[in-house]
Amino acid sequence: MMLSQSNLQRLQEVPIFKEVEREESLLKLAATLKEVEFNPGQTIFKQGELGSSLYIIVSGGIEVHIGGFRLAKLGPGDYFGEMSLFDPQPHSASVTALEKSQCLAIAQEQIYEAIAESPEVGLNVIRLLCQRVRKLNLHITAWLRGLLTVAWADNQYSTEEKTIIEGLIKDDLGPNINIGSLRPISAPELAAGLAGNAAVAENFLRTAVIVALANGTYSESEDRVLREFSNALNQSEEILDALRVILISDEVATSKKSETSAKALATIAQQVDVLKPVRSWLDEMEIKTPYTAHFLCKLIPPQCPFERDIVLFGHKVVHIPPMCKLNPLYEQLVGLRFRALSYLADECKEDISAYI
Amino acid sequence: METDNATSGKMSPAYQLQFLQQVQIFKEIANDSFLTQLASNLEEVVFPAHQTIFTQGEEGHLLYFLVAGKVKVHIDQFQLAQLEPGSYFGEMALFDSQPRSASVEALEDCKCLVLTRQQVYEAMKESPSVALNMIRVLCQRVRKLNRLFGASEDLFYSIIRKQLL
Repeated sequence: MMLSQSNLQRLQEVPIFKEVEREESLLKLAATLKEVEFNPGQTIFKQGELGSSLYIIVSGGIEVHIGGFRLAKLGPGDYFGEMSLFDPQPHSASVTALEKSQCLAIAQEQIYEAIAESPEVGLNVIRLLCQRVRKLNLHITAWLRGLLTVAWADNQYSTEEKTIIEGLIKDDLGPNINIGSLRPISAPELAAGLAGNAAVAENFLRTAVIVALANGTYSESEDRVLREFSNALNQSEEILDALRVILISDEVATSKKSETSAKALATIAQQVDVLKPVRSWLDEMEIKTPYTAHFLCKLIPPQCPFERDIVLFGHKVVHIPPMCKLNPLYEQLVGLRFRALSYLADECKEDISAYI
Repeated sequence: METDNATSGKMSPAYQLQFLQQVQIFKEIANDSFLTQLASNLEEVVFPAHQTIFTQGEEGHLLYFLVAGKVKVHIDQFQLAQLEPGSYFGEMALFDSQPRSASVEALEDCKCLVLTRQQVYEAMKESPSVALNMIRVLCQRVRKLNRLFGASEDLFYSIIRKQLL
């Protein structure tokens, strides 16, 4: 009985069991909780496995990770696996015990019974899910518009671009989505959209820098947009300051002289290594989803591309020298690509031959 | 679903019940008498084409079931969804008591059945399956949104690739 009492307290600390009027139904649930113990290094569940339990940590510590990359470290009072209770799907990450850890496990049937006994539990779950949907809606529109703003930094919104976007997101948002209304975003709007999520803000900025670098040059207009975003998101300017070394004026970016100037800049950069912060910043880029991984694999060429002229967004003409000479961040980009490939092969068990 | 002339004239309780049984959150409800009772208390509202049903940021405590016509759900100018008869909307503000997360506008003449927050809570107390159905629908939406979040990155590659080739 003592045990159930302390289990009851632990339950009440989990948001979905808050404000449950009929305490006896929670007590009943507390009495049936399964106590499980994990040894240091023991896997609690693996990414890709089907799960249908919620775990509450009583003592010890665990990490949520994808491969060797830690997404979160959780301790006593924290819980994980709540989504899989209602919607059993393969886990999107692995969970491993860092030390000797005790957890309480709640299975799907138990939570269904708790909801039948106390409708407040059901309402709490619905409220939490609504909050999550709200946040995701805001993040997604802001993220999408933010990256578009960088990609279109010095261009107008063409009909052709609209068509491409429609093709890509139609499947997820339904056939009637009004893409014409997707427009660039201002820095304050972006900050409001990504509000309260520092990890998303930082990841956004990294992705935005890659979008800006991916065409081979880093232009004044791209720098301007990134700076505004970085300020609004309270991110350090260090990275963008370092990137200034490879900044090419809009005028030069559209002329044939860019090869010589870029090479000169690259040489300077290698001598003083002012790009060091950018290097480590790119090296720390998180690869958490198959989408990010595919994106990086496609975006970063597998080897030094040959020199070429490109027409970007209809009218921006850029002459690209071999990437390794032009881009002092070549090693970081290639490293990033390698990590993305490893993620797809090791974690997602995908066939990556198309990228090699 | 029969929708001819549905925007004119009041629906019979029998028709309302038949309609509710088709709505995702009321599917597979064991307690039939509960739905019958719910159907007898529903209020009907009619919206002419282009009328705003509610606006993002407003307070809201009504859940709408679309019986006839089409509506669009949008944030500013960005359309999130277009809904057909049998869908419902307004559930977010109803459950988490926060302002409306998006605006909804009638695209054609529409008829809706309306439930208040109190009625929905009562429904969930009567029949926990209603809550479970709602939870499942929301979980699917979270997953879909997560997927889209990732897909937004693919989008940029697709733009860039198209321009490079």
